[in-house]
Amino acid sequence: MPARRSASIELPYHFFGPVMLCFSRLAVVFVMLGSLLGGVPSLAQDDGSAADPARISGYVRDAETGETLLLANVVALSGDVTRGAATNNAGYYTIAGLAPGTYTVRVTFLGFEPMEQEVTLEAGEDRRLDVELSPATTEVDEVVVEAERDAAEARAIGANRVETALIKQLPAVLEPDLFRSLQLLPGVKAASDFSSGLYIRGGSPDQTLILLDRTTVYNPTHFFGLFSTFNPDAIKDVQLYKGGYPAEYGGRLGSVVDIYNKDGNRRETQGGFSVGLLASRAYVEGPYGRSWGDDGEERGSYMVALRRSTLEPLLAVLRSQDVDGIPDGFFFYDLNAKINLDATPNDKLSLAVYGGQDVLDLQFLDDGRFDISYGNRTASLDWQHLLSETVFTNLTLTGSRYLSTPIATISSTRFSQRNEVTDVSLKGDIEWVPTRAHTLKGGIWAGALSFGLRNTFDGVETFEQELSSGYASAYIQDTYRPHDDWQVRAGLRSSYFDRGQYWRLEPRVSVDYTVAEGVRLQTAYGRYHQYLTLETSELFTGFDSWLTTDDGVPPSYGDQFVVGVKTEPWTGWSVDVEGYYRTMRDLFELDPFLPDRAGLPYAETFRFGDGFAFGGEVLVQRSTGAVNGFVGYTLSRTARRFPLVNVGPNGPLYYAPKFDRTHDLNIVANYDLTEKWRMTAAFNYATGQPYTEPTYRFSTVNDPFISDSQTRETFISPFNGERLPAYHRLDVGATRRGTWFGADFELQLQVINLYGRSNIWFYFFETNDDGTVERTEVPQIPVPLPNISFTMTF
Amino acid sequence: MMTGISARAALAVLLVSAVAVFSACDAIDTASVEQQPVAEAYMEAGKDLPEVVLSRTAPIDAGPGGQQGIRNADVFIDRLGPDGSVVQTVPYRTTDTVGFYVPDSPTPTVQGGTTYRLRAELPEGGSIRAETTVPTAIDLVASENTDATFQSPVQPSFTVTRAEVRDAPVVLLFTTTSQLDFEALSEEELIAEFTPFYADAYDPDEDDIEDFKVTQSPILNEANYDDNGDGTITIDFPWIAVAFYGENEVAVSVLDRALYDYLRTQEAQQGGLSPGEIPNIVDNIEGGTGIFGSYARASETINVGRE
Repeated sequence: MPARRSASIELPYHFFGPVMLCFSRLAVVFVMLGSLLGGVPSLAQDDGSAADPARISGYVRDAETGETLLLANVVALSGDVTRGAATNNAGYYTIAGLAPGTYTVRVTFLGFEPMEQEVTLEAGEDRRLDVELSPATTEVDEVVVEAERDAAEARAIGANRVETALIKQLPAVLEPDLFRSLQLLPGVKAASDFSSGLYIRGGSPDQTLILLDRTTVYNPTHFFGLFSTFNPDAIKDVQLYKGGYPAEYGGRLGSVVDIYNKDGNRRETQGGFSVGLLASRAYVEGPYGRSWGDDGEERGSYMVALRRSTLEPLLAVLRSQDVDGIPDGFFFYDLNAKINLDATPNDKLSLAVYGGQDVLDLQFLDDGRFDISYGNRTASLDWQHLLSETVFTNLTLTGSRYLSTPIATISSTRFSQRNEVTDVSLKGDIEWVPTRAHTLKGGIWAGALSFGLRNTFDGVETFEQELSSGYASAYIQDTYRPHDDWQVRAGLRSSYFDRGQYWRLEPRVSVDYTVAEGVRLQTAYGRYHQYLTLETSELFTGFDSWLTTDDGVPPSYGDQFVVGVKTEPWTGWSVDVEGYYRTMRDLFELDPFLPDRAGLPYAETFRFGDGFAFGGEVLVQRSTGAVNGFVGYTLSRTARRFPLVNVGPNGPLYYAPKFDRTHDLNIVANYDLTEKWRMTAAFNYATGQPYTEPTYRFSTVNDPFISDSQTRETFISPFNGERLPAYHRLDVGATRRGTWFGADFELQLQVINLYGRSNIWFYFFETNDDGTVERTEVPQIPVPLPNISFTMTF
Repeated sequence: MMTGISARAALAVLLVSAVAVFSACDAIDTASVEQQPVAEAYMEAGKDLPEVVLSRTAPIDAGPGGQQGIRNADVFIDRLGPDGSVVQTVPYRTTDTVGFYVPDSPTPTVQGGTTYRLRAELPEGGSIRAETTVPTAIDLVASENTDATFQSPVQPSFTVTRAEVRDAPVVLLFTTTSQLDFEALSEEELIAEFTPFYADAYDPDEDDIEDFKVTQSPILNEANYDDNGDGTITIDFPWIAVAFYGENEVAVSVLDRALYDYLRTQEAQQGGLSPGEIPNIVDNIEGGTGIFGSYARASETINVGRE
């Protein structure tokens, strides 16, 4: 029998009991807090402005599709009194603390015409006011400007939003890509043209929590990292928290990408398809069910979006031409589906599923073969319930599974790896607006994680680790508005990870102060913990493996400090500046110097280190006019320190990892040439990445483990002491819009790397037999790369 | 709300602050490197004391012959007792090849489980010191299927005694050495003896066919193999290690700490970290770099027939 790491398999942590207990305790805490802040909901008092204040609440929707709009701004105006709120992630808002009287309720959202409605409120009245906004036409620029100005919540510190329309407009390799679009924002960097991994504010990709409909996605890549798994046809909203994120999120040191799929069109059945050079996609959405009332609104909606690579014809042609390295089979697909039902006017149910898979069969040399398959599956069942007009609750059961099974076979010798992550969780959130000055949020998130990693060599198991762990977290957060110009958001998150029995507290606080009209000062602090680590390579994500904390492997933690200014210095323009400093402690990752893990205790397979990052970001954005877009600039630095790397006289020193870039400039511009033609361009300039240029070398001459004709070559180098040449690239695209047989169509012509800049990916150093060293450049996309796609919507 | 503070002024203040903080916070420091002496020697348990090679690291752009041997150094290897005291000192002498030193006769045998120290006084000043504790000797106690057909499900296997290694995990390294006569056979004849994978991997324009004479496994933990409970382990031999049909000598080596550290970090230079990142090696040479390591080895000859 082969010796092996004894598997420490445990039954999934029984968490539902503790979850419900925790949830009930949270409710008690809310009641206590409510008493402190002004009483239980029915007795809520405004801060002296009214004896028995009234409230307005409701959903904000897209008038054409019935989709809820997230982070829309709702303002109630009466004379000098202005009371505002943003819709939450369900599209629901509450404005509390209104004195009886007549108000003009104004609702705005970027890209939609604002809506105004007069309401007269009685003392103590709870008014339900659901609002629908019509999409703005390109002619109503001023409308969009105003909506943008009002979108205060969307411009919270560290936060950015990406419009789905922008994702589809930007020139892209193969397919429009969410992560590629995010990489254009200041503070977000790409490792290379071939990697869609998000390196946000000095963090590695695993430091970003990726949520799809509140469910964690563990490997969000297709094509082994080239682009992300999220189909833009299915996406409704994307919120990016680059840092200093609030207490409602947790589990990652750095940032959050919170993605919401479309609910589906509630007004009419609609569909579309897009045919690209190398991938195609299609979607359909529509209403179903009977109406609740006499408004003709259907009770439910659905959405299905499918995408698949269409590389087979190209691969067949290349194989027929005897081109080396062409796989026998390669495809990827993903499927997003969501169904919604309004069970009652106050209860909404939805079920969302996602599945994606990449498969590669590659024969190499005469007797070698790669069979690689990896993919994600997620599902979430969500229940939104209005306890009252001011108390919104959300309960979600989530499931996520990632499975990677790369196999290599050489001369009948088989290497295999199986990495499996299963995450089942229950999330509950409650939001209560007791008074005008306070918005309380709280929630729990508990689940069972199962990680498995198994390696075999030549039929023998060489490593096996099965980890099961329960986890739980709870948070409470108050958004306090003592004055119209001040907002203080303070929260506390507590997290527990059963594996290793780690329990951690994470305070978060942010302050937003409106200094003058259109000028907001912001600052935030937070502590963050991470119980997972990702073993990945920017070369190829098909081998990605997730690992957890355990005894001897404590969770990573870090502090983030952020300060910012959000301004609107000119009409139609916004300028955001943020500075940040963050620490990363107890970082753990598989030891890259460990040649074999067989038989080792789990904790001994890791290396532990620390790091920090700091920087400044500027985002200048114009949202209106025929020419619009943004310019993002980042000045930043990130560093890591691990054993055996960059070792000085007194031990390891901090070094700049490969994804560190000092300067990073992105310019994105759209130009509506005519009603039918739109031009798009994206330009990126960045400091070259660090790399190691060998300074000295030596060869061994008597090595007893190699042929006499060979030498073993060793380089001696200042680690990452040099920089690659600066990176720059220009992508352009043209879109022709029109109608064809009564259906809308878009024809997109794009060129990636228009002027053929051969950016260096990395250098490879090789020693020749005569002792000379040859440096080989490995380029990124070295030539202009055309792309064409045709999209129809019916 | 305060008024009179312009957005542009606020932006300017923040930008200046950001630049100031950026300048003040940069704590990254790249460890410097310089030219240094290189020592190389490998001690095998049960064999004669090895030769020692002394040279200097070559600047990367030095061109052919850039790594110069060190002449006229005073070289010694001490055998240490359990308490660290010197039990025996073996002086070395120069040879006709610059930088190569061999023991003055008589040459002692390397003893498993014993610590040895290399000392060298360099002619231009400076000295080198390094120590290794030799793994205890291992013996081949049984072998099966030593006459096997390539890629047969019945693989050759070996049972060897377990070794003890001080201050390091017990790790193994396999080498497979073709017993073909590379001097006598032509390149075409040797190519005809390649197993399929290596035949396709071999590029006559780029490769020296002699480089394939010895194949080396990665470093493997002893825990990979069947523990027989009697102080021996049994090892199944993987077919990927066979580059040539015919007779091959399969050797199992147990590495000391120095070789383990050197080989694993040297391998990491070939792509262990992100592309373009090359870590330096971990070595045990004080006053220089290189490798002064030791190992214990057992070997067996197998005959690999065609499918």
